[in-house]
Parts: sequence; C-alpha cells; structure tokens
Amino acid sequence: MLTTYRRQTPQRLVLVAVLGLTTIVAAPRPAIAADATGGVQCPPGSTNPSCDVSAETKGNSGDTSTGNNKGGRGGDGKCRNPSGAEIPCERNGARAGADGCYYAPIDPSPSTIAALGGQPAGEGGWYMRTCYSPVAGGEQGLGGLVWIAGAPPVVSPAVLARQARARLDLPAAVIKTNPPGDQLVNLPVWLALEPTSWKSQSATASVPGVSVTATARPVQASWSMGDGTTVSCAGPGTVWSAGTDPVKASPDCGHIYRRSSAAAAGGIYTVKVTVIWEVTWAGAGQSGSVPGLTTTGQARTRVQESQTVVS
Amino acid sequence: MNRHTGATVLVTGLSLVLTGCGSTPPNGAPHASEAPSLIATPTLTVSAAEREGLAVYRGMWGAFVEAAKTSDPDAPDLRRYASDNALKLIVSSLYTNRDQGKVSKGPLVLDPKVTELRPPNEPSEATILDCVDSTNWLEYKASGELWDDKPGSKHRTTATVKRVDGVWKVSSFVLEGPATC
Repeated sequence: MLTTYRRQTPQRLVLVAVLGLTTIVAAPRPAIAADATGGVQCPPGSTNPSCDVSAETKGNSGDTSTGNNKGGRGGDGKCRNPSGAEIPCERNGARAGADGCYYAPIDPSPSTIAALGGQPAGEGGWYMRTCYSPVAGGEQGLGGLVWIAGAPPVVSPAVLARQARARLDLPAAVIKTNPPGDQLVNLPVWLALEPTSWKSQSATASVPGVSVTATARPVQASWSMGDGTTVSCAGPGTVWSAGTDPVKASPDCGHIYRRSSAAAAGGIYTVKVTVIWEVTWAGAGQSGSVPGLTTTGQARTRVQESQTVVS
Repeated sequence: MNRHTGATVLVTGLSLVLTGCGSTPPNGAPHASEAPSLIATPTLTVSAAEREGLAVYRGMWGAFVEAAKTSDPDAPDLRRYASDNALKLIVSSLYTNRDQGKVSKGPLVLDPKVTELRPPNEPSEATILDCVDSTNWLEYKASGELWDDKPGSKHRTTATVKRVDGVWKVSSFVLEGPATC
C-alpha cells in the first residue's frame, strides 16, 4: 500500500522560550513592583522580562520552534496560556503569544537599541513583551523589550495559516476491502476507508501575539476502480461486515465490477483512492481557507467471473 | 594611578557627593574640592578603585533617577555610568515605563559598600553591596497622581563595576525584591 500526501517542510518559528513561563509558575517570590525600582528588580527566578534582555536578544539559543506549544489561539478562537487556561487575546493593544505573554511591535531609537546590545543581524523585530502574573490582591504586569528573531516583525494570520497548513500531519488513506478477498463480477463492492483515514486534523503556527490554527477536514474520497470507472463519495464509506447479504449494495459508497480483472495487468485491478481535504484556518480574529490537501492509498483486487452467489 | 583614571575621578566627582579622601590628579592641577594629596602607593590604587567604583555606582543611580523623571531611555548620562546588563536593564525599564505612561519621582537613598576588589593589587573590577532605599522613589502617572498605592521599600542590591579602557562603569546589578535589607 502506498500513501502519499503533500507536505511542506515546516518553517521554524521563533518564539520566546516557554522556559520563561515555567519560571513564572514556579517563582515563589511575588516580586511586587512597589516602587520605581520595579522595572529593574531581578531577584533570583525573576519574572521580569527585562531581566532576560541579554538572553532574548541572542534570539537563537535553543529550539524555539512552536511545534508543540499549547498556548496561543486555538481553532476555537480562544487564546490560551501554555497551561491551557483561557486568557484574553488582547490586552492594552498587545496580542497574546503562545507563551501567555503579550506582544506589541515597537520601534526603539538607535540609542536604545545600542544599549540593549545592538541590532541583531537577520530578520526579526522589536517587541514590548508584557507578562502578567498573579500577586497578592490582583495581578502584576511586567514589561520588557525583546527582539524576536526569525519571524518578520509583523506576521499576518494568513501567512501563519500557510505555515500551520504545512504542519498538518494527515493520516494515510488505508483501504478496507469489502468483502475481504477476491471480488466477483456483478456483485456489489463496498468501498471504505479505515476510520483513522477520515478524521479532521489540526495544526497551529504561532509567533508572539499571533497564533493560527489550520484544520483539515476530509470532504471527498475519489475511487479509481482499476476497470476504468471512478466513484466519488462524500464520506469514508461503510465497512462491510460479515453476515451482510452479499447482494446488498453499500449504503453510501460502492461499485459493481462488470468485467473480471483477468485481462488487466497481472490479472488484478489496482484500486486507488484519493482523499480530498479542505483546509480552513482561524486565528487572531480572522479566518479563511487555504489550498486543500490530498492523501492517497491503493489496494489491489482480483475480480473473478462467477455465475453463482458465494457468500 | 594614571592620568586617565584621575580624569575619571574628576568627571564622576562633578555630579556626585563623595565621602572620604579625594585625590589630586597626578599632574597636580589645582581643584577647589580636592583634599590634600596622597602618595601614590598600591594602597592608594586600591582605595582609588574603591572610590571610583562607588562613584560610578552612585552616578548610575543618579542618572537613572534623573532619566526616570521623564522615563527617558535615551538619556546620555546613563551610558556614562552603566554598560552591558546594567544599562540594558535600566534602558528597558525606562522604555517600558514611557510606553505605559509612567514616570518616577522622589529621593533614592543609597548606602553602597565595596565588598571585593579584583585583582587585589591593581583592581579593575569591584563588587558593591547596597541597600537601595526607594521608600519614596515612586511611580507616578503623567497626571501627577501616584501610579498605585503600594509602598516603596528597601532592596538588597549587588553590583559589579568594571574598568574597561580606563573607564569605570557599572556592568551589572541584581536588585532584589522589597524588604530584602
């Protein structure tokens, strides 16, 4: 059985290390910004993003891809932090990133950039990153400037949607032959796919402040029966079960061979199925569709002449 | 002490209140505020390093307090006294405060002490321990109201001061949470 599907190499996205979030959760000391030193407090395990400025501006330390992040905006349109709790998608004009902090693009002066260690090489952008953490009697937001390398300074949801699409890992189209074994002419063949081959799939791509989820939904199975006919079905078909009357046709996806496969190459028909997936995306308050995907599978079947019904 | 560091003492001394003995620049140029000259010995070098370290440390906070009145991350004085992580932290803080429409006002009280000089004979690096008292150095809205009703506090602070190319600057500091000293 051969299965192929088109897939792009996922682009590496750069995100602020989720590591910082772990620190927020674990930090035992509530760093209360009580006075004007609030912005420069860096106690051990500080949640102040400014304390990480040097680390942030390196931009390429460690694997910062978002392949398995759980935060950001999911397909349900809700924004979540990495622990899965729902958070507002926007606060004070900044957008939620997959790390649960909020990002707003900024344009610091050359003197500020120089003080922060200089303009890093390559593509990227400066952001004001604000992380909120609970403190006694409320919540505290700590801000800091960060350089986000790799991703363009402003990422449109549509661009992310294409990246999310490329991350979709669609299941193989596995054919369930029915009834099992050789088929007979003039008897119905039930065309069906393994249930796992026909299941919606989602993938998310994020940059700070924008997270988009692409969802692939199987919409059509196109069967090439090997005898020159093609059958289109809007579903995975129904799996034939033992005991079903052999003359009964599939309720939703079937075919009847009128010629045996004796004359075909090798005396068998090659049945090919192509599953067509519709891909839609949602995120950052927008939604749309991107080009669809396909998965394919094939099976070989022998069709024999028979004058009698054999069950 | 070479001429260069002597000049640094003068420059930093202008905006700072220094306690203890001053030193006369090696060229003997008269200066109104100078204390009687001392003989240049290794001891003097060490005490000069200590004094210069404390001076730039105080200079950094002075520049920070001044810049914080308008939350100006581009204040040139900050760059005279702070470098590397110390400068990043302050500039980032001022930028963030400006972004949030926040300014800081009030007196800041320092009490720094040099706890270590490295290397011992001709120090180019000093560790300073301080208890930064920002009880009254508070954050305000642009309208003049206090930003919040939280009280100021004292913060244990450890700073590293380094001499690079003859110029002393605070290269990093760790300011801990409230009531840590």
